[in-house]
Amino acid sequence: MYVELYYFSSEQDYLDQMKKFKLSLIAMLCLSLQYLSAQVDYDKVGEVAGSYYLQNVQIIQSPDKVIERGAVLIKNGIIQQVGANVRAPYDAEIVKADSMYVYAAFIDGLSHTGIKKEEGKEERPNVRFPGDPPDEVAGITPGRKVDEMYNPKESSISKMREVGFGIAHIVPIGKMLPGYGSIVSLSGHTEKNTLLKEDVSLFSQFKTSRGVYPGTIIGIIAKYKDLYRNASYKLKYNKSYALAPQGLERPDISDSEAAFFPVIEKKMPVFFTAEKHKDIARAIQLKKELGFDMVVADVKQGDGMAKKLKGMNIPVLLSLSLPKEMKDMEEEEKKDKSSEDNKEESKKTEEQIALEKRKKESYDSYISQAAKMEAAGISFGFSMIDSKPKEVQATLRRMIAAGLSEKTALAALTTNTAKMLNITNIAGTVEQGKMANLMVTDKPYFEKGANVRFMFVDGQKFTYESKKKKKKKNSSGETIDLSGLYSYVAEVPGQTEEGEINIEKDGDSYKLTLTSNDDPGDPDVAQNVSVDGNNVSFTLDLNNDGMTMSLLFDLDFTEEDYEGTVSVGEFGTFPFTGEKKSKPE
Amino acid sequence: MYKLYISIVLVLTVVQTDAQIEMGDILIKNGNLITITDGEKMETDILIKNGKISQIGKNLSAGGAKEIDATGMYVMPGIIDAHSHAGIDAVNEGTNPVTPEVWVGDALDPFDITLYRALAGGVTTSHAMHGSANAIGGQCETIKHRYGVMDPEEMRMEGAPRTIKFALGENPMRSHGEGRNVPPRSRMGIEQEFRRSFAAAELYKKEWSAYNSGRTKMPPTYSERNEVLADILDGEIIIHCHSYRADEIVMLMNVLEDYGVNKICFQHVNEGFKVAPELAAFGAQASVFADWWAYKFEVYYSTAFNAAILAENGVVTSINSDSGELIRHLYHEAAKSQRYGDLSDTETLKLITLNPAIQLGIEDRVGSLEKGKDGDIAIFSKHPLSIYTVPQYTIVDGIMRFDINSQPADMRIDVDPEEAIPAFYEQEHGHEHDACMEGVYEQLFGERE
Repeated sequence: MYVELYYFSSEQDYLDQMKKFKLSLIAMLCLSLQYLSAQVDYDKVGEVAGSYYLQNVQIIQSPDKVIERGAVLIKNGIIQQVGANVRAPYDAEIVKADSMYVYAAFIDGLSHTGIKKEEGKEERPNVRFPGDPPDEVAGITPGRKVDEMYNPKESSISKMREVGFGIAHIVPIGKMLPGYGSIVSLSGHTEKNTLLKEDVSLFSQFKTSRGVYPGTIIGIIAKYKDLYRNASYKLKYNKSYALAPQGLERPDISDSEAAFFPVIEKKMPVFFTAEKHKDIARAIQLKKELGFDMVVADVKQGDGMAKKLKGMNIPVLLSLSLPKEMKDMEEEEKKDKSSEDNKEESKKTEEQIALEKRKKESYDSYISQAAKMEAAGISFGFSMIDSKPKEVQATLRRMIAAGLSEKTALAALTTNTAKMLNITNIAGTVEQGKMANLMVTDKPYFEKGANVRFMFVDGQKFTYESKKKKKKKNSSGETIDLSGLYSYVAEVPGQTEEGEINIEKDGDSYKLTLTSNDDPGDPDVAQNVSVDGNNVSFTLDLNNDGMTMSLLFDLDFTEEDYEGTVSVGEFGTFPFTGEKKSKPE
Repeated sequence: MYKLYISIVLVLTVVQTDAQIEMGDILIKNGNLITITDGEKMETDILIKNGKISQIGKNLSAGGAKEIDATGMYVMPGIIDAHSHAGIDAVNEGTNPVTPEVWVGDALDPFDITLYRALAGGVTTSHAMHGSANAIGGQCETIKHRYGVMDPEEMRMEGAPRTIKFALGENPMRSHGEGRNVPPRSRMGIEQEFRRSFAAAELYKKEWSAYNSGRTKMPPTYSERNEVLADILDGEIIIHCHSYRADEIVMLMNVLEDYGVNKICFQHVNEGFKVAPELAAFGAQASVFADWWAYKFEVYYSTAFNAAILAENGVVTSINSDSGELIRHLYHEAAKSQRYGDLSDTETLKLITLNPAIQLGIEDRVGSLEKGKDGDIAIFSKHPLSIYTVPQYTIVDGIMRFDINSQPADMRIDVDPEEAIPAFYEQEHGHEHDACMEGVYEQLFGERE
């Protein structure tokens, strides 16, 4: 492929200008495509062993059951033994997890994990009659399978795994009725089928397409009833036709109609995203009128509906994203003000103080939602559909600080969701015979500073460094000056790319210049540089005859080095690390 | 279809009964009662028990109920607004000229601060309407201003008849003909939307009756749209039609006559005074502005005598707001009609109480102070038609929902935990507008910049 790229580039000038760095990266990507089927996952996979032994660990078997000191043996993707007296067989790899904590890997109740999000502004569909658009344009594709969009190499999978998730219930991206959901294992494997259960849910949202029918919440609800009731008649007729077709017209059933059949027959639940009280009330009303089984997901402010949800026995998936922390918001405000006018900052009006008080009350109600749901006796899980994996641990700690018990938090991350997804026989607890989905942390998970050190997903081992230790290198733990010259190593399967990054201060941000060792005369300047503490992300756009590709870098710095990843569209995410060579001047 | 309809009705009934509506007890002492149906009763008590008016008379005992001293104040039935867009999250499904299947009752918004502002103007019930972007718009919902509830279900006026929005003239022409280059593009085209829709519904009814009686085996394609149209033909839904010009008003009456439909209340109906006898003969009703016109070409010509002329001709007439601002002082709007049209106090106050109740089919429940009716009360410092009057208390189902003296300034229920707090609130959050064409611009051209 590498050679071919050269071969087909027609203009000699262009070839000369072609940046070797870019070219070799593209070549690597092509290689990675070739190797997709045989590729080994990047996060330090434990080779071929397949049998692991964790000793001297605290085992949190389930939210209700803890083995203070014991061992876990897994083999061939299954938990073989759990207990205080489990011996290591000769062929098992002994995992360096001494005195660590073993949990069942988390289960995400609903998300788009493993699906690439379309970037850019949505275009207004061009249809002759916006009042009667084709189903697809209207966002009505209830029978579409999530498998079609799902890519086990997508970067979101490793991000979810890093913070403790082993299984996710994934649904297609779309509007009102995007399609069917499936349950996937987050091992990232392609050689092993990661789809655990296909077509387990009908995903629904109160989300409209632009400018076509149904264009509003009332349009969506009316259309939903229309589709559902029409499908109910079709199903009924279909059944009588199947029983005795003599003298009957052949049924005429569209894909959209057929997609509702398992829901109408109560063989498949509807997963409805409903962030707030009103959304939940609307979803409940639809369920009441149409009679389907329902789970409400991505709930951010729902405790006011707790009584109703409990009364109707509707499973709930809470969102794992919370409003920004109050103090962060205040700091932002201060920044805004100082840049405007310092004089006006000094005095707050009585009205402003009163408004701030209301805001704080509202903030508190969001933070304490999970605790209130717990108090109301609702057994809930969590959904990641609108949440950032990186923030999960901190979010959970905020919920716990606002009154949620750790036990319930853990149940919400494991057993409760397993129950909702009907996978208790394979996941949710650390028990013999279940899938080897484990999370190993160096401190109890909900404690501040706890790190995920190992993940086992479907028996596959992933090893992680302790972030905290590295941070300790910074004398104060504060934001460090990142400027300097660093090396870099990009590890793409089959090839390693090396070079240098030069970082210079540029106002509040930095200017990053990357130079490949293969082509030292032609550096590339990073775009969209975004700095968050010691985390730096930026992009590099590669343009090559008819092929545009955006590389997305995400790096965490210490004073001496950095580690992170480079994401290359659908090709996957690869490790990108380096060390500091010198300070400039 | 009828089987299905019945099962839907049953489901809806069940839904309605399981929302627990809070009812209260209140004794209002020594106020000047304006009963609407039984004259004025000075210095009289009125007792509300379990949300209903249980007694009117002197020296009533509270029996443990909360007491309000209304000495010197005026006590009237809660004001009813027959045309509003408050308390709903969507107004116009403006993508299609015919959308009877949509229902604003599916998107009620209990947190809309306009509801509280309406209470502060003595309004206890309003008709939350679909907008006027479509010839046949969506179904509307009659709501009680139980501001403070979290569950949208608790806003519905349980048992109120179904209503639907129709629209004539420029709004549907502009939204579809001009905006999207699809029919209707003219006033004639709008008439055809009605005729085409009713004809389709008649056919739909026939197909289903053939299926239900076993003459055909395969069920026809189910359609929410035709279901609702069929219900209109069957007289189960009251039409409320956005209208201005007399010729179009007569046109719609002709269409309805052809299809045997007679439950109609015209909204705005600024040229109603030209066809008042025709409206009365048809049994059509009218809900108007007191003195608001000339805001677009087709409503260039009207008169502040409109309400009085219609009422004098025997048309059941009301004054409405169609606005989050006017809804706060409908008693002023009614007073304007009295100022111009020389109506009696009772006739004038009927325009904002009993008459809109009749138009919404809820006159057996609200609109006057009578034993057995809902405990929905507005209490004013002076006579409600006086320009100096100030609303003091507003009560819904015996629950105090507005109290001018004891409630905090900030009555919002749903506060954004991440909102910016500027020095001047409206600067950031903007004015809240209610309008018949709400949402249409966005649907046509995308979000406003």
